[in-house]
Amino acid sequence: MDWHVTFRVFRYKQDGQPPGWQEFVLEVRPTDYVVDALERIWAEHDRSFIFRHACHHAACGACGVRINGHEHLACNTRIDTQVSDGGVVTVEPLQNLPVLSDLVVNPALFYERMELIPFIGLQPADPIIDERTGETGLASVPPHQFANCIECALCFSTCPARAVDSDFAGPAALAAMSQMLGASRRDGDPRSPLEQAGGRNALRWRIRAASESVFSCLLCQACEVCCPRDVHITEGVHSLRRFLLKEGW
Amino acid sequence: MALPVGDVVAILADNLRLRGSVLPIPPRRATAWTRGLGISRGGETVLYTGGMYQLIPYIERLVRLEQRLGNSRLASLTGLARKANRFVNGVSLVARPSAAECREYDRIPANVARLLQRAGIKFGYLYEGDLYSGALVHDLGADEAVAVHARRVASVFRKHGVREVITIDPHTTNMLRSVYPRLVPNYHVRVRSYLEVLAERGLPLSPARSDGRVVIHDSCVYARYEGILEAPRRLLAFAGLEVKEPQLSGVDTWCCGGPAEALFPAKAAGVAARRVAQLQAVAPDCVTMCPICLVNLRKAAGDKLRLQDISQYLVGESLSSGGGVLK
Repeated sequence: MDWHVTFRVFRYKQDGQPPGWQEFVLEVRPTDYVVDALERIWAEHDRSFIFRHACHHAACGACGVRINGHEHLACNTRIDTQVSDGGVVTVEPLQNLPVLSDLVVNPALFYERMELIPFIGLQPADPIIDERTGETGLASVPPHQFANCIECALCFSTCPARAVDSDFAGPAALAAMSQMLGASRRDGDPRSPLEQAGGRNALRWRIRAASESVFSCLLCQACEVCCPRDVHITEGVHSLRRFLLKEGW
Repeated sequence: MALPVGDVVAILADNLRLRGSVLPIPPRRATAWTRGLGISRGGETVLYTGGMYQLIPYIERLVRLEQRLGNSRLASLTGLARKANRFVNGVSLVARPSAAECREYDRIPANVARLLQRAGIKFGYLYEGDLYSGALVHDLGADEAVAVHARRVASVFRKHGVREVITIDPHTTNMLRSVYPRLVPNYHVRVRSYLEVLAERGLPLSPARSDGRVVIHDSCVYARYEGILEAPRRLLAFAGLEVKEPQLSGVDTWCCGGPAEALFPAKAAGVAARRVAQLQAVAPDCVTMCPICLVNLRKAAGDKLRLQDISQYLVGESLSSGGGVLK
């Protein structure tokens, strides 16, 4: 049976008008996803409504928003996990990033922090050799590692340390750094992404430069609760701290 | 400006290694709360405080000192202090809280002990063997010092034949329950928070005299690391209190800022101020269940929000007088 749900969405345009909220009452199936409702608001009510989405299956990280005050991907958040028939769902943009329009934030700050790290993209930390062919292949990505990150910036939005410190690198960047640290211990191959990105010394200097972020993480795990890929970020922070202390920082 | 992180961590790790605690205080001071409670020494089941609440007055003093030093040229002498601290217990020289400050936090373990006694739970206490868990040093990444210390604590348990530990704060619970098994071979001690123990037994008290609404602040460590969510709510409801939830509660709780306190007090204060605003929007009285949360939020709250440890609420005394001790 269909439900009647009120979607209270954040509205903002760069036209000098103050931001505000607008409500849309939709008839939805309880098992619909929030992104379905956002698409219908755009299609059926207001073509000026702006939100970001792409894959619809939690792979691209484009549709990160705050739903009822918590960070979620709109594409994998079912309406019946947020509300009952007749209830209200609030949808607003991510925090800690400037709002461009309605639900769309400018992720540049998030990516700038990620670029602090000599980056390996989404390759796993452990290259494997195919014994049959002798060729180097890629191991399956281990669970809970940064390699699973889809760069949705939900962690950046929910992070209390980031909320009070605009220089804070953010959870994803710290997790990325820790994975590179792991790779640097194992991978001496000159063709490796680490070597191509400047090698161990470059990584060492980047981590040292980010040391205040490493030590001002609160280890509160708010980032892990909202991470749609279950990356264990605080374990990475622990390994960065161990590294810096051993380096005599 | 913050003090040099490496030096501060080294001082804390040296204290843990040399003196058994990040902030070594005299054992007589750490166990003063037991006076008049008749708790036997040792036993298969022990109440374990890890000195957390007893340390709070000392932490407050040290953080105030750190804030003053951090803003002065004396900060550059932290490396020297690190070297001197290996020979002289610096804490005993620079942090001397008043007796009244110590009593304020001694009330909490005393109330926990009385609550357990009323519930008919048999337990002992290790007195000078009630060592700090190493939580802060573990958080900061000084793993070797923590591993050595964990083995020391485990050997105290073995010596006294301890099989079950009842903890009173989230950090000690997490260390003894989830971290030590990774650090100590053949560590098989059952560890539970007193909140879990009391919730399982049922609170043995008549409903609290304070019958108002309270907003609950979940500790990140209890909520997200240890999954302790229902026990405090059950106990507060049993004590006759209406528990209100802030928007960010349970596993979605917002940090008190305390974990940054030792190294970046200004950042800790900023996080705490935001949390106080979230809590204040719900009710004027707030219940906490962690000494770090309590002290950090209290500092940020001023007179905007009244904060008390959950044990104070559970003893059912009037809170307007600042909390009571269960008789």
